[in-house]
Amino acid sequence: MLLKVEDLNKAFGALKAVHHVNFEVNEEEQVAIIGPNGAGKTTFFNLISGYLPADSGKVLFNGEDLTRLPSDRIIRKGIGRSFQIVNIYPETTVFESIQMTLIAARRRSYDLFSTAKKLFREETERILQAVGLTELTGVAGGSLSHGDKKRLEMGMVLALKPKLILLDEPTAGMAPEETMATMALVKDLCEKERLTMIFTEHNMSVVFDWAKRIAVMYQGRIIADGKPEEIRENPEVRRVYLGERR
Amino acid sequence: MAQECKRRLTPSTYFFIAVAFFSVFPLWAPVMWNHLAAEIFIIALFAVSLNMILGRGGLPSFGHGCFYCIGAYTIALLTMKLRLPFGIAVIAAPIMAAIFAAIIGYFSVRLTGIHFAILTLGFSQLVWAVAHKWYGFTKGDDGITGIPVPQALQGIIPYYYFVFVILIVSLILIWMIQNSPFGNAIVAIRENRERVTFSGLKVWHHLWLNFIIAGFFAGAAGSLLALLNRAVFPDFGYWTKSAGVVLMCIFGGVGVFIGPIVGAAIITLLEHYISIYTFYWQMVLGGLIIILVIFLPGGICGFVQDRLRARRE
Amino acid sequence: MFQFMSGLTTAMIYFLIAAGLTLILGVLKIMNFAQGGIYMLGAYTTYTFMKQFGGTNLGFWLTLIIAPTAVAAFFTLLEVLLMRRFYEKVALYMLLLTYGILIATYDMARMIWGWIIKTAPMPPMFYRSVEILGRPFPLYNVFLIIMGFFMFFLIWFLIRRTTWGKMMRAAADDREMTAALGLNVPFIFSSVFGLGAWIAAMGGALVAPMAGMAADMGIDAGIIAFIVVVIAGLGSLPGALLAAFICGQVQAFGILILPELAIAFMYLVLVIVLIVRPWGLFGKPILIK
Repeated sequence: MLLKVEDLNKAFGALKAVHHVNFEVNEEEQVAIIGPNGAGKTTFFNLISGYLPADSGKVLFNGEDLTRLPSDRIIRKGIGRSFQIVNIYPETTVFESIQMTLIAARRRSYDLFSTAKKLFREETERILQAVGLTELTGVAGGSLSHGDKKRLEMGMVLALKPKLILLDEPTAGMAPEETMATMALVKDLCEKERLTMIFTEHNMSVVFDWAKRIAVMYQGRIIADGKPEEIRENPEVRRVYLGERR
Repeated sequence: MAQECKRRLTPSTYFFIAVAFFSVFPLWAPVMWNHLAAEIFIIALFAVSLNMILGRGGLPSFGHGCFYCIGAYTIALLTMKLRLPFGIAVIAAPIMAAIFAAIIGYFSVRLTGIHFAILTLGFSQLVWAVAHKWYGFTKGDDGITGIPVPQALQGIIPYYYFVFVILIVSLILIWMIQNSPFGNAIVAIRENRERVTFSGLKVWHHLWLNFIIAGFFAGAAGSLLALLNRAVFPDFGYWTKSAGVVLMCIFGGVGVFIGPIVGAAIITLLEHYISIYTFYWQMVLGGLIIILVIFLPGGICGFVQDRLRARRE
Repeated sequence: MFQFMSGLTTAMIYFLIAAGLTLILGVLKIMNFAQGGIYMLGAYTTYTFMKQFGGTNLGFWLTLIIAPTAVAAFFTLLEVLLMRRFYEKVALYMLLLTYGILIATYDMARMIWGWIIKTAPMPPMFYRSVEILGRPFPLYNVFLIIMGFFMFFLIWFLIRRTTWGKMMRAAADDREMTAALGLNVPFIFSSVFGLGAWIAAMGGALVAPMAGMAADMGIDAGIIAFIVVVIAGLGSLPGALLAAFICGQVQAFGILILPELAIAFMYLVLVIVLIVRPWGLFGKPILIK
């Protein structure tokens, strides 16, 4: 078992964003977390990745307790994260962005005297090839199209060689073909690199086509967790999603 | 704020030309020009050190004058009160400044934007106030004069070369640091702190180290000025000095390595020559700032860069 | 006790310089370095006007009405012409711009009024002292303290009880929304700036008969205003009063304890506040990583 969440809680005043959540993910699983807006999915990711402190509960990763650790330590333990609103470097080129992430991942960031441009060049090429950005190496991050920005972010996450990746709405804002391509890419990478993946999504076709396991969150709780067919038939899930199904 | 983080590589040729030019400069220039040139070198180093925090780090430090001041006072006090040899004092000065930068930076680097500006300003004023008022220790308002300079460096020409060499060495070091993985991390932090944290780095740690290094070089600059004028005064650390050097960086362009150097040179030259014609240099400077901020937000080098890029397209 | 009253006087002066700044900081969200310059010009114009009116009581009251208003008008004009375009930009440019205005006004003052320290004539009605706990205390200082409180309540009233004050607070909270609601935000901003300038100029005007004035009082005042405002919490008016009070007393009693380092104490207070509670005594907490 790679990730185990025990009785996780987070409230913002009266709003219980994450409420008594118990969750487990095994190695190389690919889980989708779905739920209506405000269900708590992003907060859940924030808690696991250390972006927000939990009120109570535990997050165990590979047996280690991550609950009170700051984000940077958690990332180092092997969790990568992408954001709903793409979080990249606007003025750095694609190549340098990946290079920078490699510098961080390989713990060279305190090196004062090497020339940064020369480091990790082959590995950067490899990652760019994996995410399909080899044509755009010299472009500044902020100038990329939305889909390419997400690829770049994916590349940066991969550069960290994580064991678990958290993808927050990876296909948000994409046209259907791009969505397919992105998910194919993600799936491919996960299998190649043997990654465990948890992703949140609003696009139901993506979820039901690509996920082997789905968890449903509603008002901070996980109300269902299982195979896609089970979820589809689950009466509570249908109730929650009434009117919101695609 | 910073026009672009991507620096055009200053062609080594320009660098060597400049070095060659200034190497032979004192041989034909009048004495006063040597003094002025040495002063510009010192202020240029000060400005480049600030730009490590301001331009690269994206943090508006309004208290950098404090490290300048500490470097100057350290060398003055060590050579005069403790009678330490020159060699030790010269090395101790930037180290002392770095120590203060470590303390001040520890608290300041956790903040950003205007709060960072305010805290650095506050700390530097505290240092100034102590220097200004602690008559027993620092001779307060009067400053310390008559700082001893070793035989070999007396006379403006030897001292010019001394400063010049230190400037070149420092610039090379700073250039290397800015192009190192560490330097890249600093730029990345400026562009997107969150992403850097989520790449597994401790952001404030890196900013702190950057702050200390910048303080080190500012202290070096300060000590050089103390030796040049053989005197130090508390207003080396008054907030207007800090604001002035921020201005120089912005004027020259924070996104370019030589930007602060250009800014420092132009403003120092202007100050020098305009002061000859009028008492009211501040007014001119004020007007200059206003024009700069309205018309040239990228600074002079930024403006030149934009023009060159436009012509290339 | 005398020290306390003296500290109170100083505190009121600090408050007047800082109140305008905190208002500008709170609503316009800019750090106006020029505030000290406004204070200084307020003092100098008061000097000129009072000299014109021959140092009479009536002249004093007239000056108090005219001088700060004139100075405030001048700076509001500057705001409209120069500063407006920078509200949305990075804070650094605004800091530099106001700094530029500060040093330009510094030289302007030296140019117009010269370098010698000047004192405005004291209006005759204040040629007396008041007995406080057995010690004589200048009546003018008492007047100043009263004026300080009066100004506090005046501003408080303007902010809390008038429609204009409501608009101001709205613009401070959410500029875009306020504009979307059809309110003329640039006008609100200019008027806030004008008020802030007026308060500082009034501060300078009130100080004029009391102490000598030199052009660099603006630069020193600017730094003091800044300290008070930061300790108070950016944008808090009662905070400014309290912080000014603290600084005034620290100054007054600091002189007794360690005269040499009295100013340093104030900076020490500033630094401690900034380390422990960077958002000031009354400010809103900011995120610290």
